[in-house]
Amino acid sequence: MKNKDSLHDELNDQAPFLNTLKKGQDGFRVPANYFDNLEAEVFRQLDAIGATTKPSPATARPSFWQLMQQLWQPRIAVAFAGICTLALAAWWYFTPAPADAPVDLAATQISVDDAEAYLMNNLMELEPEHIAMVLPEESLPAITLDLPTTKQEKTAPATELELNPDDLEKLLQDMTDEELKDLML
Amino acid sequence: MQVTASKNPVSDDHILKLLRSDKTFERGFRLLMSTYKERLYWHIRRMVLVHEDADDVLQNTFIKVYRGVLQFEGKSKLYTWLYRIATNESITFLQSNARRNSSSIDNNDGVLASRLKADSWFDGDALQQQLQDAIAQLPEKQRVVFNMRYYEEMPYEEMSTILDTSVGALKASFHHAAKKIERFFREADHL
Repeated sequence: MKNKDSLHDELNDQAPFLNTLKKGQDGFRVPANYFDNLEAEVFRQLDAIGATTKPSPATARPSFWQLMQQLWQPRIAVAFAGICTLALAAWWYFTPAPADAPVDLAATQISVDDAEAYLMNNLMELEPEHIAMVLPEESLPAITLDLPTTKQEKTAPATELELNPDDLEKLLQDMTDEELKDLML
Repeated sequence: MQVTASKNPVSDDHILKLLRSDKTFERGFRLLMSTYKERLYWHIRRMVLVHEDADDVLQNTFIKVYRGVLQFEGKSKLYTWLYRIATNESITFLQSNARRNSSSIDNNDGVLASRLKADSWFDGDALQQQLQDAIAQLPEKQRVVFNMRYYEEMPYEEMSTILDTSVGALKASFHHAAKKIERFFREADHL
């Protein structure tokens, strides 16, 4: 009211004719129910321009799940799966094999001649029982004929095999390739 | 045609609270429109004069509000922000209208007056028609100030916030506008 009185005074001082004019109608009208229909019309316009989804605030931070929902679009998921596959393939390719693998690899790559040469050069370092372990069972009597005969010797365990170099060489020559490989290992 | 904040039973805080939730956003926006549509309409109508133009500008205003309301930080009152948008939309409309008619916005009065005569939603008498002719001759800023003060009876402090102009400058602007209009009528032998 104070504002209205102040406007009245202000107009009386500055433009009394305008004060007189203000008492009448201004002549502006609106169609019937215009304001009642306005909201529906605005939403129709928003629909027409495809803006009826709630606008996102520029400052609001999305929650973790909202962020995941935004990110988890099909093309992003496919790209993510592709990156994971590449990473796994790279990991598998560049990771070194376990430590015992080179031994197996070496065993498959050594030729029979090489193995035989190695055995001949290191013949004296081989333990007889190692040789015995890889020989076929039927070969064993030939190298264990010299068993102890005395009672005392009988009670002692036969832990060592006595082989002379000639017998051993002959034995090696009789061995198959497979037996030689096994002996190497 | 005075429309004041006291007619507004819904608080801006309530509207903003509804707007900030996904579930209640549409309800909040409908409430915003129902609360402010008449005030904004009349503010725009005084500027553009013709109902169809006012309707277009008001709808554009609400569309802009819809898109930008979540960026509203609440540093000013909601209706101050709405008034700014409505004022800017009205001025933009008048400027584009003036460009179409190859005249400046301040020399657009002849076009506005003739459009008002053709508007079926204006049935003012000869004096009211002349008053609108006189207002249309005012420079853009004076026209805005005059309408807000004369028709909406808005306090200068509120106008200052909306138009980002000092109270003293607004008072001077209204004074000059009122004097020009009185002179217009005097020259037309009504005084």
